[in-house]
Amino acid sequence: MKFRFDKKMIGIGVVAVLWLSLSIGAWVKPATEYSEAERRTLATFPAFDKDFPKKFEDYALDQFPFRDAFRTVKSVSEYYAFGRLDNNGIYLSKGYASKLLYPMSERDVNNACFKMTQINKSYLKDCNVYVSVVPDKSYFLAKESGRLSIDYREMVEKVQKGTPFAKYIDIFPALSLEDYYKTDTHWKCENLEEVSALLRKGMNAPASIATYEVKQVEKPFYGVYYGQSALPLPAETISYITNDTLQNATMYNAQTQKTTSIYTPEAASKDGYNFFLGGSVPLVTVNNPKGEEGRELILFRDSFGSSLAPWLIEGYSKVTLADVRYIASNVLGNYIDFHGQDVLFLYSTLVLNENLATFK
Amino acid sequence: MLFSSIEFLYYFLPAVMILYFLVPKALKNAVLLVASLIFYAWGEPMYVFLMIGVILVGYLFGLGMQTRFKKLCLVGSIVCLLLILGYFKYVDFFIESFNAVTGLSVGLLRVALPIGISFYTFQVLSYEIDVYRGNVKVQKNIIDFATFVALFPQLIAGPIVRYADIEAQLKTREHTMQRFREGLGRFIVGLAKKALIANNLAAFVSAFRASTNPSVLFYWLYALAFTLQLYFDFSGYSDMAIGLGKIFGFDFPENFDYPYLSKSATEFWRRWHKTLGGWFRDYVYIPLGGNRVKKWRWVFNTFVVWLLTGLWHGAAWNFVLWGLLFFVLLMIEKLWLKRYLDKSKVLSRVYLLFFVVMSFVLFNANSMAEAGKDFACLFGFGDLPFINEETIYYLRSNAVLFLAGIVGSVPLVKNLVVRMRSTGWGEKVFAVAEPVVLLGFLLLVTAYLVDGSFNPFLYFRF
Repeated sequence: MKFRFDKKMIGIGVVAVLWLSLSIGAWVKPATEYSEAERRTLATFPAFDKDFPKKFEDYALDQFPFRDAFRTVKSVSEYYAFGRLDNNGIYLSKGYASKLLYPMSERDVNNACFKMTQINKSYLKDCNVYVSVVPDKSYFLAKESGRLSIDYREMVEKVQKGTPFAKYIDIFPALSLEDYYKTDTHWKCENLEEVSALLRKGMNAPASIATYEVKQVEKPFYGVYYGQSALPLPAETISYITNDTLQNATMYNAQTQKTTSIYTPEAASKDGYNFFLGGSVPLVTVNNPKGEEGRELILFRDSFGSSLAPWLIEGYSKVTLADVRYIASNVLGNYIDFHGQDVLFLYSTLVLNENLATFK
Repeated sequence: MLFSSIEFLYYFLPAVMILYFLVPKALKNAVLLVASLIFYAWGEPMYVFLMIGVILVGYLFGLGMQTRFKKLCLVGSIVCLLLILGYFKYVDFFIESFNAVTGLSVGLLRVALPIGISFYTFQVLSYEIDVYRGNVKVQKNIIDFATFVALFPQLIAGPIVRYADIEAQLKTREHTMQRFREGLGRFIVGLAKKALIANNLAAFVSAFRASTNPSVLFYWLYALAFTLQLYFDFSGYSDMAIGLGKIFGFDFPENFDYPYLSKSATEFWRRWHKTLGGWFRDYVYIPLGGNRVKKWRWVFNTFVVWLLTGLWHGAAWNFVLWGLLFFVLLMIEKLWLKRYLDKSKVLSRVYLLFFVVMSFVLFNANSMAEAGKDFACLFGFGDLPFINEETIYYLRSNAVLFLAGIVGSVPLVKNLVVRMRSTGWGEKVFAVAEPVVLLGFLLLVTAYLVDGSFNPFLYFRF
């Protein structure tokens, strides 16, 4: 190339050098195995096979230098330069990061009802069956902030129609935006006293916890939307309730076949919310030696059930939590003895609307 | 491989550029050829052999034209190339149409469309015809010829570069810092058009198609969004191709000239996909006699050109109708309307934009039934509300994008830059602002790509 120094070339030279620097960075940067922000394993350099180009594309994206910083640049650009109301379906309003839950997927809701009906027919003949739906926090945020949201009431009606064998318990009056984490999809354990009271009342269950103490997990909590929004949101704190009953309760995890306490800091290294009952696990049983002998609860649930469970243990001698996204419903009989317990189906609108394939 | 991908921008392209500028002049075409084959094989590992086959067909028939079988070689090359194109692009369309007409049910062959086949077969066709006509010399060097066909900057989405355009540059070309600067700038601007505007408009179009609750206004916004998306996608790709060409020492022809400013369909096709229009003019329309024939024959010639233009864009009836729509518009304009359009500055543009937007609704339909539904909904026959909450949301969320698209599709920024640079201080400001803007674009595009944004390429299917 003919080279003659020209001041005009300095600027474009800087662009070219930075481009080349990023390229060299991409070539030589050691691979990172896990993204804390996105809570997922990152692609590593693929083997040379017929899928190499596609896998290399994933690798190049996942391992790009300053990946998290670039994701933040994109988010900021989307919100503040392009004026987008959401970025990858996540939006910020009133300091809360939330998912754009829209439109309602009737197919998914109907499938969830069908699965609940199948479980009822197979196992719950002698049980007292209840159902409730947890509203997503977007329902409290969307209208005021001009975002789209499914109609919670409409979904509840569909669930009620789809599960005529169960008594519906309305927990909506006990919830408001403040009961949810700002950076996460879930509700806050320490705010669920009123919700648990409505559920207990609906199930004619033993009285609620009389005395308890709220404690905090020391580790700062960054919820799932923190990573998805890629914005510098402040950390939060996970709080939990405790008393003699909860301290004496033990939890058996059928997957790991280990017995631990109901709070599991060891499971919360990647997702702080896994502090509650080991997080996303197929089947756990909480034994409460102080509970009423023979009074048992079976909770079919998603992850919202984890932080609610501590409020439901009091009074029951045994609480079984089953997540049929991780265990096939047709083998439940091998693990649970169904014999006239209270049974509560508790699912969030988020899971009911988007998890057709995950209900087994 | 997509230009707007991390693997191209930060792995393939820098590596190729370093190698290209390090090797001696005699090896530069070989480097470009190997790089181009890797580039193509990355997404189409099997079809790279088809492209090599097309190269060999073009090369051997070209050599054959030096013998006394010149005409036979021309006919042979055209037949071979059209058969290849016909089989890989149109065979299932013809079977489907045959079945529809006869009521038979001949099984489809389900042939996957090789990326860019329409572009590289047309380039080889133009070479054969130009050699036959004596407009260019036969290329005896297989590396140089293969480099012309497979040259990755323009391989899969044009512009359609004719052999005559770069015949001299295949042998000797200039690499200067000035060309590098211009090329890099052009490439980054094209990249930004594609990754920041076209991809976001594509996401809007995708959201519209996924909507279960559309409205009349949503249909109109979709039509506008797709019209803008197509322009930014295709012209962005052409900018990238031209920019890369400059870096590697080639001057590719321009492909777009702000087509949405046109005042007639005639003018539109002088500004939109100029290399395709030029190809059909020089290799179909004029050989058929052009307009120096009787009126009925001229109408027929024009009809053939627009039928083929429609078919070139896709093997489906909506593309055929799309081409024929422009045939009708051009006929009406040439026979009557043009004289009125020329007198008007506003109405003529409204007329052109209306028909262009409608044509792209037809163009983007997945079937004739969908096209019919789209038109019905656009004009209020779809039993839809005029506006609803979902439409308002998407309008608010994409207002800046639409504005950027509209401003970017007219030469407002270009004219401002030209005017600014005509002054002394403006030139100094530009010298600083240009690299800052380009760097900003590059980093922003990288951010969008790293985040795994929606990234389709429309003109690949042609």
